[in-house]
This record gives sequence, structure tokens and C-alpha cells, in this order.
Amino acid sequence: MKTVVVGLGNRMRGDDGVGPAVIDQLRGRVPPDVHLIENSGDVATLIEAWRGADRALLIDAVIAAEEAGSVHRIDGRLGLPPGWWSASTHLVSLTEAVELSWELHCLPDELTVFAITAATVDRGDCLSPEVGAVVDEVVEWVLADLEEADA
Amino acid sequence: MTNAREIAVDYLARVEGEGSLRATVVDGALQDVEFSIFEPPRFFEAFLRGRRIEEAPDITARICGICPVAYQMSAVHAMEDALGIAVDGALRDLRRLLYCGEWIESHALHIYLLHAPDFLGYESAVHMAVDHRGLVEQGLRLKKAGNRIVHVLGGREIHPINVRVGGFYRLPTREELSALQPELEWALEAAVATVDQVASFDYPDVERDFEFVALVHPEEYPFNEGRIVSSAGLDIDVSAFNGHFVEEHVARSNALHSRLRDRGPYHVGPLARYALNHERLRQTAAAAAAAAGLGPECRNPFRSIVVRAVEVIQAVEEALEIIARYEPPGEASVPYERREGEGHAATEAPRGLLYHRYRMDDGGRITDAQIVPPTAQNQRTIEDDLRVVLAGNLDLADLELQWLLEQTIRNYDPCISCATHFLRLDLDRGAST
Repeated sequence: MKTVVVGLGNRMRGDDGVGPAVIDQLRGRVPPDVHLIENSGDVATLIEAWRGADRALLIDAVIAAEEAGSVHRIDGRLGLPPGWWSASTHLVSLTEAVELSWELHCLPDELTVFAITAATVDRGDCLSPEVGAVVDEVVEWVLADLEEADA
Repeated sequence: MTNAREIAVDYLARVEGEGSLRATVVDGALQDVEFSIFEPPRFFEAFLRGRRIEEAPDITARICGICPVAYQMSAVHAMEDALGIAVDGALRDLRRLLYCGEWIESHALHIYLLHAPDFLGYESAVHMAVDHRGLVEQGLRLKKAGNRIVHVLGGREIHPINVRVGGFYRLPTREELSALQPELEWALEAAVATVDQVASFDYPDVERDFEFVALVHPEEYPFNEGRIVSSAGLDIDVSAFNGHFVEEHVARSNALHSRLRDRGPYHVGPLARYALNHERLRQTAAAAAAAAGLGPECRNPFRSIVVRAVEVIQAVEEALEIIARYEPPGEASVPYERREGEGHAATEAPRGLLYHRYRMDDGGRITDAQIVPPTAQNQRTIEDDLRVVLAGNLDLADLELQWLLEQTIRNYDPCISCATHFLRLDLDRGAST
């Protein structure tokens, strides 16, 4: 089974960098056949990243009307909550990447999205305290998902 | 009795960034148009102060996920100008090759995923893919060919890390570059087909009296160097930029607006490059431009998609030529000694002229930085285009008009993530009072 883990986001846009921050923490802790990918939001590259994969786990910041640092685990193939990615700093939204991959017949059989509610996506290379505090939790969640699938 | 109609786009899809459009129509006449970019005020210019000059290429690459090479190139050339060193031969070729990769991936993204849906009548590339899956796949594959160049030369596809002041950290082997060749040969055929495809679109009949501004180099279609030339007679060294161009704050926007001193708005980007440099297009690109009926210049901003497609051919052709003649140079970079000074550079980002200026102290620390991105330079021209298009189409229904206005903005492939995300459009035809 080909598995990719994608950290989506721009490290220079505040909490948008949480995806890459999780990827940093996963390095050296995942099986060698799991591909860790940082993607700053280029949808075409994102589609190519999961094209041919059986399973994709994706970590991304979202703008949602709930407490900053809230973490949701979502089955991406069942649809993504409307509006959560509309204020993404990415060039084309994650929702569109999923929909386009569906039309192009290249959506992985499993797509799990870990969505972390951002406090800020203003320019800056630091995570907010609320989002920084949940990075370890998301890392453990991703590792548990990988172990469960391999079991 | 007054009939007021306000048109406002709050979030514009398919542009790379955030912005808004607000227009007011009173008694059937256009009163005002405001195109705004939500740009966090010049974060990077301040962020660079106090940093070592060697950090600038990697920091500026973070300004934009689509055109990081442009930021790196303008940064290193400006540093090298201040340091008094020149990068030539195979190292210069490699820089042009890296830029070819960025033009291919950036233009392919815009042509296929962002702009073509406008002309083919689809809400987005997702909707277009339902009927034109092959077209979208072709665009993605073209983009990937460009990304591959950036990956091999830059160390990774997004925010490359192999560019340094004086050259590169690591040189590619001949084998690494030769491995790119087969896909680029496919890309050349696909790029020629792309020009045919986009040239057949229906275009609004708009002619604009732009003052085009681009780099001009006597021997090559411009990437990294040249003089700043305009279609109205400007011909200056890059170091004279601030003497001729003015950046101004506008109360409603935190992006700076540019104008030519004593003249006003100007136009940078593919249309400008083509008008001022078409004689230096390579053979296949020139033939495709002629076959598409472009002529010596094109003043219809909606046909910029055709010029972008021609520039994809140009970039693929040049990439193949550079790869064919590549012999790794002896050193990966030109040595330099730190010194106090000021340096200027302009290069041609996919969206147009990108000017950088830096001051540095004798310890190699940046003391001042100025970055003028193409989208900020085009902002007034985009507003003028919107006025022309609005004034000629006020009879359209709201949704049709909104579509046309968004398309007008997308003509410029505005990179609002570097000038800054999303455009707001409010459409209020008002009520009789």
C-alpha cells in the first residue's frame, strides 16, 4: 500500500504552517515506505503528490468558527465542511483539489484530513500558542493511524 | 431621482491571493472603481533587515509559492550588483534554466486551471474537467515538467533552496539534466498545441492604450537581465528604477500602488514582454505567435492567455537548448568579499517585472530592502481595464457582469499572495430614490 502524508501550508503565514510543523515532527518516526511531503498550497503539486497513492493523510489549518487549536479528523472522500477552506492561503482550495482529483480519477482510496483551527494566518513564521500546543497531539494521531492501517 | 448601482466582488476565485473589487454606477454612468489587494504591509522588507545577505534568496523565495525563483533571482542579482561580481557562462545558463522551469509551471497553472475555464464557460477547472479531462491532464503534466526543472536545479519544487549569491550550492550533473529532456520534448509539442487551443477562444473586443514596461536584452527574450524599457520611450538602467517609478500608499489598500513618474499607470507582464521583445523569440515560439495572429504587439488584455502560451513554448525551447549544451562548470558559485554597498536588480517574473534593491553593511548584513512585485505595479492598470470593461457592459445582468470583471482581473494572473488572497466583489445595482 502506497501511503503519503502531506503537510499543507505556508510556514510564513502563522498557523498555516501547522501542516509542515507536523511533518517536521514525523520525520524519522514513520516507516520508510511512507512518503512525507510538505506542500505550500500548490494544488497541482498536491494532486501529483497523492496520484497513485492508496492512502493519503493530510494535515492543514482551517478557518472555522470554533476555538483555535481544535482538531478534527475527517474522511476527505465523504466531502469537506463547506467554507472551512474558503479563506485558505493556498492557491486553489483543498476542496477543489479533492474534487479535481475525483474528476481526474486520481483520488486515493483513503483520504484522511486532520484539520486544525487556526488563530491567525497573518504573515509570520510562528504558530500561535493554541495551535503550537496541539502539534504533538496531531503527530500521535497520524502515527496511530499509520500503525492501525499496517496492523 | 438617482439610480445607484454598486458592484463589489468580495472574494475572487481563481486568483492567487486575496483582493476585492468595488464599483459604483449612478444613473447608468460609472462613478468609481476600486480594486484592492489585502497585502500585509511589506512584511518581508522589514523581515530582511539585519539578516545576512546569504539568507535573502531563501527568505524571499517564501514570498510566493508560485514564483519563488523570480524572488530568488532578483535577490541574488541585486546582491551581486552590490558586491561587484558577475555570474556568467554555464552558471548563468543554469539560472535561465531554473527560470524556464518557473515560467512553464506558473503559466501552465494559470492557462489551464485558472484562466481557460473563463473562456470555455466553466465555473472552475473542476467543472471543466468533467467535459475536458484531457485538457486538464495536459495542463497538469505541462506544469509538472516545469516543476521537475525547479526540483532538479532548486533542490525541491516549492521554495527551492539551491540558489545562492554567486551561483548555486550544488551543480546538477549532465545526467540529471539529460533526464529532463524526454518530458520537455513532449512539453514542446503540448505547448504548441496549447497556443492553437487558446487562440481559438472567443475574446472580448477590447483594445487598451497601455504603456508597456519590460526588461529588454539585445540578444535574448528577457529573464534575468536587461534595461528597463517602455513602449513610450523609457530606456533606463535598472538602478534608475526609483527615479522613474513611484510607489504610493492608497488609503483603501495596504498594497503599494505603482505609477510612472509624471505619466501614470503602466503594464508589466507577458503582453509587455512580447511587445518589446517578440523579435527575440525562439523559432518555434515565434512561428506559433504568428500562426495565432498575434502580430508585433497585442493590446487586448484578454488575449494575454495566448501570449502566456507562446512564452511556455519559448521557455521549453530554451530549456532544451541549455540542457543540450550543458557542461558543468568548475565551481558552483563565484566567490565574493563582503562590502558595504547598494545593489539593484530586475528580472522577469511570470507576471512581469520584479524589482529588488538592497543596502548592505561591510559585515554582510542587509540594512535596507525594497521589493516591488509585478501585481502591485499592474494594480492601477487593472483598475483602468475594469473601468473600460464595466463602461462597455453595464447592460449585462449582475452574474454575467461579475464573471466578466473577474475574468478581466484574471487576465493579469494576479499573484495576490505576493502583492498578497481572494477578491471580494459586491454587486449592488442600488435602488431608485
